Amino acid sequence: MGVFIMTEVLKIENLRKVYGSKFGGVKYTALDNINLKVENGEFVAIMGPSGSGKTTFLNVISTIDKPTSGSVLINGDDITKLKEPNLSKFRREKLGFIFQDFNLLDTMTLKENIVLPLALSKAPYKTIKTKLQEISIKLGINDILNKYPYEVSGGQKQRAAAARAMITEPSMVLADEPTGALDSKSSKELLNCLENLNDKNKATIIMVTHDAFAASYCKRIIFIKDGKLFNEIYKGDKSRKDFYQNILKILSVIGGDTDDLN
Amino acid sequence: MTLISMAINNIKKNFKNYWAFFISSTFSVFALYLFMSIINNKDVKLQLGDMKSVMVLFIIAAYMIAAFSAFFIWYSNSFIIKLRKKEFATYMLLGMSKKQTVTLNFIENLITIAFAFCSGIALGLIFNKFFIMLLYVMIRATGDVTFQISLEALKFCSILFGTMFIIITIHSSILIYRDNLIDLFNSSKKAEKGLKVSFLTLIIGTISIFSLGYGYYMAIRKLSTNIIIAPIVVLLVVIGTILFFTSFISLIIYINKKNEKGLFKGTKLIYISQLYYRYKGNVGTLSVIAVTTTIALCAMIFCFGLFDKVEVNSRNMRPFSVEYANGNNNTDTIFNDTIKEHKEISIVYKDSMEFLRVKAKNPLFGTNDTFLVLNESKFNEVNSHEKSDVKINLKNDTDCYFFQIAAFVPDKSVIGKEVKLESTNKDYNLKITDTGMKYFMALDDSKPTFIVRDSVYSQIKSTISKESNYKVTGYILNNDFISQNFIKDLKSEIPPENKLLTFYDHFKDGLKLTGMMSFIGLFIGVLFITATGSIIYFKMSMEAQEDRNKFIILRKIGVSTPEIAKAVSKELMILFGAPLVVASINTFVASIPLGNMMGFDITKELIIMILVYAVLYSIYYLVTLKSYIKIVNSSF
Repeated sequence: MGVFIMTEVLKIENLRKVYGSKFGGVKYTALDNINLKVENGEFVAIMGPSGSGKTTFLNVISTIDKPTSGSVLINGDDITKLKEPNLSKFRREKLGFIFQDFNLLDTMTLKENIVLPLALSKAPYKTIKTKLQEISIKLGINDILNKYPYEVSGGQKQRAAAARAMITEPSMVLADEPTGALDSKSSKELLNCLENLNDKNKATIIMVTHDAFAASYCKRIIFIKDGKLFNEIYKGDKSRKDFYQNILKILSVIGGDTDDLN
Repeated sequence: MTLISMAINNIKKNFKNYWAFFISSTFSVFALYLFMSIINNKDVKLQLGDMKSVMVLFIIAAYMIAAFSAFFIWYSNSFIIKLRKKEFATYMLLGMSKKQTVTLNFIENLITIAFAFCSGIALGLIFNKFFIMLLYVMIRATGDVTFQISLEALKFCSILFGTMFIIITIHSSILIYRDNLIDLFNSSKKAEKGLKVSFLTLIIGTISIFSLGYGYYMAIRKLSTNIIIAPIVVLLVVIGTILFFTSFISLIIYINKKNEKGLFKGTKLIYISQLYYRYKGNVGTLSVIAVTTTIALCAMIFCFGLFDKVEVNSRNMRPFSVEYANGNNNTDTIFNDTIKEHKEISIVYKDSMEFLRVKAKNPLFGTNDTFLVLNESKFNEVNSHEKSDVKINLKNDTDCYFFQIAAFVPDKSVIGKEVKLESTNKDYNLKITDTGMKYFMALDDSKPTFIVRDSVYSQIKSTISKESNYKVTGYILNNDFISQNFIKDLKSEIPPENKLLTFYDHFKDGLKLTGMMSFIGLFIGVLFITATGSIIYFKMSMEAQEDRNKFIILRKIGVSTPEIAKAVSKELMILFGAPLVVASINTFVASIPLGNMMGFDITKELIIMILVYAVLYSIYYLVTLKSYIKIVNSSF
């Protein structure tokens, strides 16, 4: 490990999310007493069976959903206290998103999709151009930038989405099942890209996945079960193959969706 | 749940899609019923008296409304079906047969059309008396309006809307039967591909500007003197407008989309991409709206302009309150005796003009015609009595002023031309030093006239026999508007060969004609606004539904709701604004020759009309915008 100064990007304290309390119906605790720290430059996977609270967790840290109690600090800012339109601005400038179904706008070319967050922040044209150039080369999509989403493959779409997430150099990239809609070859390409961005650009990436193979690209894996942190493991110096076996073992204990790994 | 209760439920739920359709079709039924009942109303016919023939205006207007309503209902229905295909597919997936789906749609159509029909007729019945009274006020008719139910009007409306109902039922059944389930499901997904712009677009765009520009040029410069070119001008402007929308605006959007430096700036990227993607599907609607709005605005300005300027126009056409031709002592006595019986009327000026008839080569067309000659001092005196600002000053005996009647504006090319007036035994060579067309006596009785110096006039007069002179006696009364009874009595006394012409008669007939035209114009205008507004509203609501996902994505990646509202309002502003702006410019240009033809300035009417239209149109814009934003911001 390098000798750079670790700074906290994400700090979660006593996070709780309870559904249904507002209308007096049956209460359901989706997240219970979560405490978590993510350092700058980490590549973290969040895993857990369906209904474990993964999506709620991601929604809360992506400012789309509000927690019932507890605090979520991103770069020291408590996002639970932010209100619109600052929230949108925060989302656009500090966070990058990659979704399972790409969420690219089919009215725009890949290039336009990628530069959208910068354009909205009214970045100078020169900056936009340089950053676009840089990121598209890294993700290997610089020769298809003028194509529309419906003209390219799923893998290319997802790499364009990753480029859109990264172009603002966000504090944190949140990826929700990014390989969910991809074939294995495209998945590998994408994961290599993410790993590369994490290594070279020191991008902090948090990825929710139920795919152990995808998770094995990360440096650290957090398991959630029934809304609580269940376990966490680090890759350390292990090879990816060993790490993968390690993940499978834990998943078999918590009853994860290992069936789709075969 | 029966199909009927399901249909009722559907209509309730879909009211946000239907209301615009309701308003517009209710208004069509209402206007149609009203017009047909006016056509068949005996009281109105009585009021119009010898102007009965203007009823034909109402008949034409009624058929226009009928045609327009038919088009509108058909168009709206195709839209609603397109919007609801997915819903129908879901019913079928859940086990409804195609036949049942078609029946469901049939019941829904029946309810909506019947509802619109009944509310239109109800409004027609309730407001019939009110609007006929309004018409009476506009044509200054006095008389009682009785409450009437017009069966003819009811029959006409029923036939029209019944037929439309059958047509749209067949049309929607075909649409539902034709497609497979999967096509129905995917129908809204059929993406409108982006704009296709090529070198041809550039050429057509240039042609459109050229066509509009040349049309405008001809309208402003040439149309007033040469009315025959009107169809060419209209054709140029209509084609120019359509091509402007198909090519020129496409080109502008394309350029904006390709200019990255300008594009990558805030929400511009969002709405330009949206326009680029959506414009092709809107081109037809927008150009039709631009053309129809132009027609509606021009027609309304023409009608209201005439209505507003009836008095000015009548003063122009009949500068004297009363005039008669070739009156002798007896005629003057009749006049004086009649006026004595009417204490409310007194004479302000009396002018007798004695015109001399001469032959001359027409300075405008070169043909040999008969002209009249009048002396300068009389001409100036008459003009000053009529409070006209025409005053001529002939410097030499060979100078003359040419009063022409040819076109809408005087042809100035005659100035400097030589004319030879042929009298019985002597010719007079004169030079035209000025010309004009301000009528100094009733247009009905006017002929092209040369005004010469008094000395020349006396010379000619002495050489020709008295019989070939033409005498016109004109009076200006103290108050024309209370002269109704006096003129009625006068008419029965003065023999027809004296051609009695009065300002009051012209004014009264003018009011009837233009009052009716404005009344019709008012309805057609409202109909056009509601219909065009609804059509854009439909289209935009449909696009909003289709684009909802796009806006959800935008919000997820951090575009705030105000930013989305900004992007949407700009997009709609362009789609709504372009037809209105183009139509306003077209109308502005058209108002110039229209004003010349009518003989007065109609800038005031133009501005008021465009402002009123724009305000009403903006209401549709705001409602559409609100609904669009609500749709795209709902559900995260």
